[in-house]
Amino acid sequence: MSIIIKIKNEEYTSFEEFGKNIYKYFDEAYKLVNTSKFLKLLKQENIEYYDAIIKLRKEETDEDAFIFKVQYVFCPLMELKFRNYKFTSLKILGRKILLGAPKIDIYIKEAIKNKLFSYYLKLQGYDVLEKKLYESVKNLENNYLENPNRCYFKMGFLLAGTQKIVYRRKWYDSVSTFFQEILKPTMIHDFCKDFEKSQYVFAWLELLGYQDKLNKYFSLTETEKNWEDDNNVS
Amino acid sequence: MKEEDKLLLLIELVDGNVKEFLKEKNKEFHNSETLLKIDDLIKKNHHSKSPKYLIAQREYEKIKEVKITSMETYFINIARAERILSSLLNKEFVNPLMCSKEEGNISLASLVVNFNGKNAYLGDIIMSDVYLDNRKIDLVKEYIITWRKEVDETFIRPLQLLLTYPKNLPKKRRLPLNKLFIGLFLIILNFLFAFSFFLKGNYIRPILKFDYTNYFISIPYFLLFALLCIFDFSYIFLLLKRNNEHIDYFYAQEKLLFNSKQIMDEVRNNTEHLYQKMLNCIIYKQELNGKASQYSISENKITALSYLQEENERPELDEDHISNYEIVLIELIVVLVVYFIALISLYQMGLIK
Repeated sequence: MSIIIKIKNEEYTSFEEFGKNIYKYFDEAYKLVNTSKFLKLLKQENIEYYDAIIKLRKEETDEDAFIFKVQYVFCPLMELKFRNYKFTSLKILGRKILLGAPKIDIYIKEAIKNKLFSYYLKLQGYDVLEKKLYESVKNLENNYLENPNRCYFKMGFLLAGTQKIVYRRKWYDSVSTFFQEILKPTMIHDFCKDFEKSQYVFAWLELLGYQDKLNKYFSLTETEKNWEDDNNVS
Repeated sequence: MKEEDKLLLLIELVDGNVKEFLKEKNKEFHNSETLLKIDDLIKKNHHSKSPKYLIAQREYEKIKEVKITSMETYFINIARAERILSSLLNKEFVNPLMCSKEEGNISLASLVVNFNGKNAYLGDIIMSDVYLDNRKIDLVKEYIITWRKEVDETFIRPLQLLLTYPKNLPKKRRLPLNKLFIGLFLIILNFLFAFSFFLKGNYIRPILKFDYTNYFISIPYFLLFALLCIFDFSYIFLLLKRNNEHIDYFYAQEKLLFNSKQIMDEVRNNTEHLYQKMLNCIIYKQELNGKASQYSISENKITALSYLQEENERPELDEDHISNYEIVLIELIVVLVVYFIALISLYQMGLIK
């Protein structure tokens, strides 16, 4: 029996085909997959898919994470796809994160939060083929809550496989050249606006081994901030 | 704190190249709103004897002299200034180991502490069933250390510094030796004059008669007597004046310099007793009774320390030099002694009858 899955004026004749295109409409696909009609059809056509999705429904509470994993139930070896993004390699994803800095892509950030990249890497066999990369990604995801933004950019550097920082599409490989450029009157004000909030520079400096200096920085700024806050309250 | 300052701090820590901005930061620091507020509060409360104001004043004087040589010193001093301002603004924060008479009237249970990021009364936390005893003990330990550190930094260490490296803290006696000797001479002279009235054979009567034959001896006698009276009064007056002028110094000297060891013991004992009391209250679920002043160094001692510090910075005055008054007095004593010897000799020679 042939099946037709309709979603946003598109029609797919197999679950695999549907799975390959879920990334284009995450929200609609989530609604569709959760309908009893869809589940009934799935149960009739492929009980393995059905069982896997039912299991995911129980395990996954986040909508994005659920539908991300559903697409890999249908197409386990598919490239990295989610929310209209299609990455043919992890390096491209890493470069996207860095080139967009200091802005943060909320969908990529959510994916890190939901540990989707390590999930994807495991499906692709990275846990055996590139164990170090897999472990690093997993480690970053596990430490996400400590500092979400810094974790996001660290993921960028890791996946892009670089220690260079990019700002306004220009790449810098040394701390002094980067800061000399930043201190220019035309740059400093824009850069200052959200450099601390975004954590981009901190992620880079941590990667370069300046953790001790950063600890000192945060200790000095925190102490000052605490007293300032106290005085503003009183 | 401006984001730009934070960036400069970060660059300095990592790369060290922000010297061109430091001059401007120095200017910004000294004209900062925080420093202006402190200045204003200190001026408004310059009569206050509260340790809080005295400490803040002392800290402020130091911070005014600071020169910003790095972003790190800039941040450290901004934090110091904010801390001073905070201590001036937060009236409810009292250190029970060092508080003014007025502050010391509040009960220990009403001391405000910061617990889990919120201000709360110490007594409420100790009696609360919500928190574990270990957590309460940690809080008590943390506060005892903070309070003690404040006493050390603002009282004990400055006192030790005065004792170890005094610039101008002479040991002042209530009655210095030179003044004691002059006093003794004056007493002897007064006795001599009183005694002269009872000299054998009514020696003094011819002098008191003002006989024209005795003018040469009567006039000096009365002049010397008048002078002696003036010196008596002026001596008493000057002694009282000196005592009045130095009363704070005498007090500070006796309470702090001569008894520094007792003070340090007192602080140590107060800290231990207060800590023990709070621990007992936590362990035995007792209410925290008593006033904050029970464990505090007295306000007078804190004021005395400030006084000694001011004195220490003043140019040295030689207390032992002989004043003009004393020179005239010594001369008078010599003249009187010569006069009495002459008088007695004249009687014995029969020239005065």
